[in-house]
Amino acid sequence: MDIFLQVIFSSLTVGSIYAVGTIALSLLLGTLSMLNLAHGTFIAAGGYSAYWTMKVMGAHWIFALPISVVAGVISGYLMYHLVVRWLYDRPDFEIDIIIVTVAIAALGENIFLNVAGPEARRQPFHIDGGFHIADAVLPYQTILTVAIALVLLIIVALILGKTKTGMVIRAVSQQRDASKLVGINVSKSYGQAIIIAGAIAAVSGVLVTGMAQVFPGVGSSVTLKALVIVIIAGIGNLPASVLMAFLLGAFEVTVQYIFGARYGFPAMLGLVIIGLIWRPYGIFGKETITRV
Amino acid sequence: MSSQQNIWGRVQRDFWVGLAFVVLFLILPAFEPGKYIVTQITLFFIWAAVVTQWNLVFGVGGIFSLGHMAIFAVGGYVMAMMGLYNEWNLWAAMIVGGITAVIFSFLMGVLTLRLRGPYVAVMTLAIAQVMHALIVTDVECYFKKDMICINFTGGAKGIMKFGDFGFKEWLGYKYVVFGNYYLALALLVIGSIFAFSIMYSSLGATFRAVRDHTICAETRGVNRRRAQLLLFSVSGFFTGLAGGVYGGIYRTVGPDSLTLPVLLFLLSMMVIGGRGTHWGPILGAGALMLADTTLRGIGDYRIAGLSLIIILSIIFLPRGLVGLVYDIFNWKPRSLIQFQAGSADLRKLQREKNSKKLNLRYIGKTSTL
Repeated sequence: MDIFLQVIFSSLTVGSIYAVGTIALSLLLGTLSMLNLAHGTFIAAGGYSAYWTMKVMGAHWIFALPISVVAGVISGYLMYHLVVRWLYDRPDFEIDIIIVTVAIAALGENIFLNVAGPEARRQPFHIDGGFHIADAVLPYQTILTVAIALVLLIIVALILGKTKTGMVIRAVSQQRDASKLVGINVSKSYGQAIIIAGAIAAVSGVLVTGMAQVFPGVGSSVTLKALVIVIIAGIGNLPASVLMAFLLGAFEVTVQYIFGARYGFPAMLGLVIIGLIWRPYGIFGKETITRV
Repeated sequence: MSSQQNIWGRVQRDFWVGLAFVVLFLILPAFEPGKYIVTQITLFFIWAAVVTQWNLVFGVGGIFSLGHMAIFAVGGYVMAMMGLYNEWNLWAAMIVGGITAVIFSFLMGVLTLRLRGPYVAVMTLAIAQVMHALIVTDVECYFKKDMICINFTGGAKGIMKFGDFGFKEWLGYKYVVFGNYYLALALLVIGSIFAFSIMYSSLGATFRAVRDHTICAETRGVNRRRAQLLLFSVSGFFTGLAGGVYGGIYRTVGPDSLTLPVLLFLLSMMVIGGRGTHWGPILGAGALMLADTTLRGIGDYRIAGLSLIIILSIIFLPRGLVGLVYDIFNWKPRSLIQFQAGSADLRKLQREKNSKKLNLRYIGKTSTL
């Protein structure tokens, strides 16, 4: 029974990492159909900025999240102005952005490696301890991560649903040419979406590195898993991708517990591929129809 | 304009360019360029051969596969395992490696090609990463040789001591590098002839049609999945062979070829050369090998330099070096273009100018240099 509880708590922990990692990815993919493989760079930027704030500057923990948001906004702004705004209007934007973001991911990882060094550091934005329930431990950090993931989800829903910026982003994602005709600055709305995604990804970076550690390549494995989860959940369906994050996290932990740690991700990927053969547009996705 | 004649012109041009290329590299060792340069050129041949096949999938077929290095690794690993566990001759093992790579490639296609465009990229990348993770974490003893425990896949160290191509016995120790050199050249030449004949055949036209307008191609009776699966599988053979040649020359097969930096390196060759073009992969491989040899000087920032090259080339040279060469050869002064429009009708002139701009973008995409 204890083992059962412990597996459930571990799945919750892993699932919360994936859930918080998927939000920003799902946002960009769903609204701008932009597959951001440089998501890991945002995550690392958030993690390192929180580390820098608390360890190097010695600031109070309350500053960690705001500073990481600032870091995320800056990286999003740079990514938009240096790269995306030159590409978004091209006919093969979808593939160009994949190639460019692979390059940005490698660039970011290399810069963090050279500036901060290869060693893994402990993220100071972290709560120790947890609830002890019949010999199983539910870490406080997991609860914090789940809570912040839900808060982020609500924030994204509010931004997209209630604000004018969100309305513009949705309009651009539905009919780009039509929104251009009614006077929307399409390029600017791409920039806004990327900046929002950057801020959210940086916050998720603080939480992800709070579970793991801060090191240059911290973002890449989370990014890949988060991407797979977003695809199986159905593109742009944020609540579904959070749900799938917890389900697949639980599956991975169970497989790891029974067959050993190295089979966790392969089994998860296998399950996802079977799921995609069954429903190529994702479990909760809708079939999109392309007009000629 | 008769398109048949047009194609023949291009075939002839490609033939002569290719012949010049082959002759140049056949006689190059006669000038005794030094061992380091010969080794680097050998590596260039292998990467160019891989990128040529990847370009078939990625550029001509429009399938955004990022798992091509997994096929390369399968070819190398199967050859190394055949050599180590069954003590096969490496030449035979290499062919088996190529065939296994085709099967692997087919399976990967079956699993991922149901998805639409960009999502194929994620799933193929994930498959390659899973393969890397499984190999690196492999610690179980499979086989004991000289009291040393060898894992089934060689683990993080990779497989070594599986024999070689036997150039030492045939040619003598001193000429092994040249044996490797000509082997890699042969791989590149045969692989390129294969790729070129696919691109010129009606199959190539089918693949391009699926890439450029899937829905139109499907309404004309092309089975998208079957076409893409076919392309995905056939490109596996020479990729697997290249994996075998690489393993045989460097005498080790390891998981390193599945890491992100290698993927980035090869991707940048294709992007910078010009994806979907005939000579792009080879041109890009040459440019990147040159850049890489230069960038070794800055050590730690090599990957950052490569990434910057990719980003800048996507932004400023979206059609790659081949597109640049095409523009240089077909250059016309802007005033001439306006003059040729030859009309005082401003609107017509405007239309001409715009159609020129528009055409350039699409000609660029389908231009086959």
